[in-house]
Amino acid sequence: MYSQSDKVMLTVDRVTKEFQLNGDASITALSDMSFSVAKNESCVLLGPSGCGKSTMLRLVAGLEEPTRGAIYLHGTEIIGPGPDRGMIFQTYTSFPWLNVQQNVEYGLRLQGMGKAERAERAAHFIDLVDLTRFRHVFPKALSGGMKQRVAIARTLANEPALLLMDEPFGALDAETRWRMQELLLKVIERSNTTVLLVTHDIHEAIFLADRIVFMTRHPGRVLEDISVAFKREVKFLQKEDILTDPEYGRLDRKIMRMMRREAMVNADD
Amino acid sequence: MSEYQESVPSRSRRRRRWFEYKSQIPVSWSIFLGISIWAIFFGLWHIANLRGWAPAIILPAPPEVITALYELIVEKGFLYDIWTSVWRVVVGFAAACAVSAPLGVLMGSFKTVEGFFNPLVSAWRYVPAAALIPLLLMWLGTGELVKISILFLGAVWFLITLIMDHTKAVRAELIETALTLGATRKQVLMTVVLPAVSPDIVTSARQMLAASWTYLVIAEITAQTTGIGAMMMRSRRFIHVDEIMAGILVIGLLGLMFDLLFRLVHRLMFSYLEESE
Repeated sequence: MYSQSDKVMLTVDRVTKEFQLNGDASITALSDMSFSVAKNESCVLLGPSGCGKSTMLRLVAGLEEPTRGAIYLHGTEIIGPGPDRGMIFQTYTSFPWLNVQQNVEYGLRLQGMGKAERAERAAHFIDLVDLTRFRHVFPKALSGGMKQRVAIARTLANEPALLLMDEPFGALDAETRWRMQELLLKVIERSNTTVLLVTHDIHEAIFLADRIVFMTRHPGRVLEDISVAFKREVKFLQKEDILTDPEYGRLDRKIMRMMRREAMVNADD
Repeated sequence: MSEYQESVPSRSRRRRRWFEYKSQIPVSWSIFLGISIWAIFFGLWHIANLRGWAPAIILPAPPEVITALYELIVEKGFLYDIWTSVWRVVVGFAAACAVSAPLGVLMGSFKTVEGFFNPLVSAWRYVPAAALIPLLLMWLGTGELVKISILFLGAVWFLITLIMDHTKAVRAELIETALTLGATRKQVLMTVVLPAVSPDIVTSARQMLAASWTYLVIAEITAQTTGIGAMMMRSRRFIHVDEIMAGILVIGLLGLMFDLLFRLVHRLMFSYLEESE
């Protein structure tokens, strides 16, 4: 769909990932997987549990190494973690010994940025995730949704080329979840960020994605690259507005059927 | 954890029970219960003395022990013994912490460091420090060094293991987050692993300090010269049971004091772990 132009930011090229089990046995988590993400695009990796989508994200983050194949960011092969690919986890990762402001400043401090500049940059991103009132509070006193907002602000303050999110709202209750999804859309819009997000929630995927890469499981590979084109004409910033769009229903049904088929095919496990 | 406060009805219709699973009790109850157990302890002891359940010479009454303690301090220079013992514990234990904290953190962080040191550490953990006393007496004489060595050897192996285990328990996501925020391995150690494990290091130290007092008394009883343990052994020769008990009392009180001190330090250093702001 995307030609090899300078628009392409991330290229995953025939990546296979095997995990060694005890002894000689190994399990193939990802098999010959290829896809790419364009600049300013929000790409969602969607698939049934056990399809290796989290593994894929960890490979892009550089926290794991592919067994075969390679991943390129701006044409340079990824060989380890770096601040150009900030990662947000499902579990809360706010550093408990730092308050909100210090948490958001963490990456900037590592770069050796001056105190004043750091504080200004942090203040901007704290405001973006609506936490200004809580900037001096320690994570212990924050709710789950607020902790994830700290993580988003902290990662964005680093201005990564690519924002990686591994089921970031998976541990939140239903209401906080859709509010966070709306907040994320706003944040992506304002900060012009490129996003690669992993989820198993179909509605979350359609609401957030410009493009959905649907994965099969055991081993994980790309089944279909689905464009969420209907959102290009209309911007849906509130979740209820998208629900009545006929395209939404069509896509929802299509992906649901794909999910079911995957579950049937692999019913043996 | 929650943003929302649970609403508390002004008057609870539920009856307060003495035995309720996992429920909080008012502070006044805690104080009352805490005092009760000691009142019963000293009460039974006093009654045993009054009724003559044991000869008074081997079981003096609580007031006699207090009197003995007073006389020890005022007339027999006991404060110097206490000071000597406290000094030994502090030096020996501080040395054990100074070695075990960095080593434990490195062993818990890197499998190579663990692979190198752990065979030694886990073997030494099974050698009671008291078993080394004859050897240490021969090598180091009866001076201060032998007592401090026993204290050190009694605490250090356990501390290393405890701190290593706590370091291993630092959540991988915290480390990985730091890596994707641009931290180097050294920065991860200094800005994530160390602050994450610090509260547990202080707690481990607090727990091991109790064991250190054990080794101190063993050392002082064996190499009798000065200190609380030595005083108690001297008193034994003259059948001054009240003085022996005064010694036990002082050791107990000192232990309690150090424990409270550590709790205070923990609370001051890691105030971010408290529920409320």
